[in-house]
Amino acid sequence: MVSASRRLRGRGALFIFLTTLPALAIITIFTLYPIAFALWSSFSFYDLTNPEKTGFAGITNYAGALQTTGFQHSVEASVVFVIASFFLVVGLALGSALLLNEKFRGVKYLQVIVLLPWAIPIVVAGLMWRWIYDSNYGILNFALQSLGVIPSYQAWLTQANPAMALLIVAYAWSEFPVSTLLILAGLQSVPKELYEAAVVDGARAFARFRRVTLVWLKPVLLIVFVYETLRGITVFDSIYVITKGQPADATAIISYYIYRYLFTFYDVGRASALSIIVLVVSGVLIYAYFKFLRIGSLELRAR
Amino acid sequence: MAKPKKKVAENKSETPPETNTFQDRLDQRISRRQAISRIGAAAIGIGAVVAAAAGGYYYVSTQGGQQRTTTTSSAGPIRIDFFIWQYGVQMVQDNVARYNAAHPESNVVLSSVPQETYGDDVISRFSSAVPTDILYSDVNYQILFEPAGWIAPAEDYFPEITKYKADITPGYLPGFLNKAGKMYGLSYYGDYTCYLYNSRILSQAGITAPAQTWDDVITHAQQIQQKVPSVKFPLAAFFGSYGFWQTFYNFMQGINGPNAAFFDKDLNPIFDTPGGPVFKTIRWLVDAINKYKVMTPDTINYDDPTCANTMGAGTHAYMWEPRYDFIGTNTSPQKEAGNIKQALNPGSGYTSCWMRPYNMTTSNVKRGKDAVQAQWNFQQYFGGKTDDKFNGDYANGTYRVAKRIATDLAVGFVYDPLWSDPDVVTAYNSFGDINIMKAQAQKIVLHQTDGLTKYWTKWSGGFVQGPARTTITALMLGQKPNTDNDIMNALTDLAKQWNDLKASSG
Repeated sequence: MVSASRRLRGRGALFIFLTTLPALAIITIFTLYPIAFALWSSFSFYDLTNPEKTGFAGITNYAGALQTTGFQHSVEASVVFVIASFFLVVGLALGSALLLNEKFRGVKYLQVIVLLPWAIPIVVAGLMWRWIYDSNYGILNFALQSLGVIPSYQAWLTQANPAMALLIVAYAWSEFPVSTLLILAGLQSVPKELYEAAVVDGARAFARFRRVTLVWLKPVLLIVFVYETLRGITVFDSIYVITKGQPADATAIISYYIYRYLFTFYDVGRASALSIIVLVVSGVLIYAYFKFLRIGSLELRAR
Repeated sequence: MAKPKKKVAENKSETPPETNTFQDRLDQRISRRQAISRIGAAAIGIGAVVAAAAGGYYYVSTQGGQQRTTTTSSAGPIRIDFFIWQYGVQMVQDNVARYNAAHPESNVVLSSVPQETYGDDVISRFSSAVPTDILYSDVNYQILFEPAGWIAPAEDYFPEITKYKADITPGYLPGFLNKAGKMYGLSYYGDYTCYLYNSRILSQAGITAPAQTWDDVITHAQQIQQKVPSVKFPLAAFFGSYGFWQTFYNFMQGINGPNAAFFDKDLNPIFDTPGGPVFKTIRWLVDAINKYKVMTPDTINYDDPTCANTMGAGTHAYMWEPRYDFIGTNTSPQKEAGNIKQALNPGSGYTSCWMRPYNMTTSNVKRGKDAVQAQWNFQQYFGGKTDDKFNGDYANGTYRVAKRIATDLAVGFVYDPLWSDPDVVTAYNSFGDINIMKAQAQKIVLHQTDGLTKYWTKWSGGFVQGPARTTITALMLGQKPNTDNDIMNALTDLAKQWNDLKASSG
């Protein structure tokens, strides 16, 4: 009986092994291995411009990365970008989802229009926004001058503050439809009985929103928060196309900064150290979200 | 609530039921620990498989035998892998096809990638031993690739290449040579930053000749702002994208003369000398943008299409851009087509130039002398002189590909004899004045050799941003305080960063 039991258990393990093999293989090759390699590189001298210097580097890459002025600037820029874009994207997405959840004439067309930016490749959208902001022919300058807001065309992307703000607007435009869709799906799953019960209890509109809608949306919002925070930290394409980190590194957030270390300076070790730092920070943020929102494990259905 | 736990515990001691069908397996209850242990076992299994596969691949790839870079078959044509960045690819393909038709004993295979990722792609190719025999290169690549053992100077194998030195415009020559003075290869192209003006706007402002001094540039710009209100910023230059350093050197050579440099011959910084060439250049640019407001601050974002299009649209009166963009600036459909003229750079008359050579690879060398000879024959066709049958012939041959690049794409060349080629004269005169172009080509300085080290890009930022480019840009835009003292402090700090890099690079 014991051997039969073992045999059956062995069959079960084999079955699980075979069915999870494709997914695990992909995760191993494209996620675990690169992370392990980055971790190894971050503690190694691995600089393509200095191939003679190899071996264990200890914390040299981490210390070097943290001490540079460029890193400090990129962290500051990242904090501004992540916080501002988070609130803008989530606010837009929540507002849009609430609007699209209402029943009125033309809502289906509005749904398509709101989701349209999502269908446009980010690089194409970035180029479009770059043209909108253009200092010589941009429609933003045209509109503001026509309205009498500015006396003449401005080179918006050469000034640190407008450049960052305009970059965030462009990014949010491309980004908010995804979150809108997620929140809208959550809203459409709220049982009507809950609202009816709230009305019977005398709850007004804001109370119904706070006590029913938001509570029901909590798991979905958690996903949106985590997703948008990570997107904000790792965004690259919009920056590459619209500002290239300019003016003078004012918009060079951490992902762009890492890209530069790897693909311009060819310093794999230091770029890996920076990537690991970002990975750890992202992990901490995700953990904090789960803790802060007091959701032990993710459950999309109410009990 | 405790019941389910008990049930799981009970299951542990029981013999698991027969699970023969797929549904049975799906329905089978297992404890969390069992699930984790099985998934863990699966992960270990996969890890072992991946490790075994990787080990096997490593073993095979490091053993002798049928390697990808060993040799060529004596039965078929010798394959030559040619790697380029994407510019005028159709023409390159056509040139390759012509060569292959004329040389059935070899088969040139072309691969191309976007210019933006070219450096990364080359490094990936070399690192992973992708067959490559000859490729487009650059002065800053050569200093990385030769010590890494990826490229070899052609002069080591074909000493006759040195004959071409006599034809090369002197300003370009340093870029062809390694530290030992050996020639890496022949030329793909060479060009320089040109100084353009809009004759219609100047005339409208009552200006009869383009500015010849840097003070005149400012005075003219102010005059244009007064007389031609549609031109808000009369000055712009190619400071965006990959143009920052070549344009900065253009201003530096023009303001200070051909010997102005950032570093001495021992690679010590001299750019922090008070009142030196770098300081003067930054001062001029800072004043043009912030004090006189005659140069658009957006110049730091101007890539070469923007330069051509804004100048061609009449947005600016003076422009510094790559000479190969002159044609796109001054021909239809540009609104100002025909009004754009070239002049010698103001001040000293000198400007910055750059060149792109062909490099032969060490993997080509490892394939044996037939492959090396086949690569050299091809290189002579693409970068040198060949006879009617496309065989190398320096004495009586023609610069076929270099000439075609000049006549069809208006891109520059490094070989002086082409200036008097009737087809080139006709082609260049169709959008400008070849005499001015030629005169400027005699007053060029190869900016890429100043501070030429493996760590130059880490300091400068190269085609993107780095400490030096970021600092100078911030000064230009007024993001950093930019009094004389502030500029000197910034340069002193950059000198320290250079010295740190120099020390850490041994």
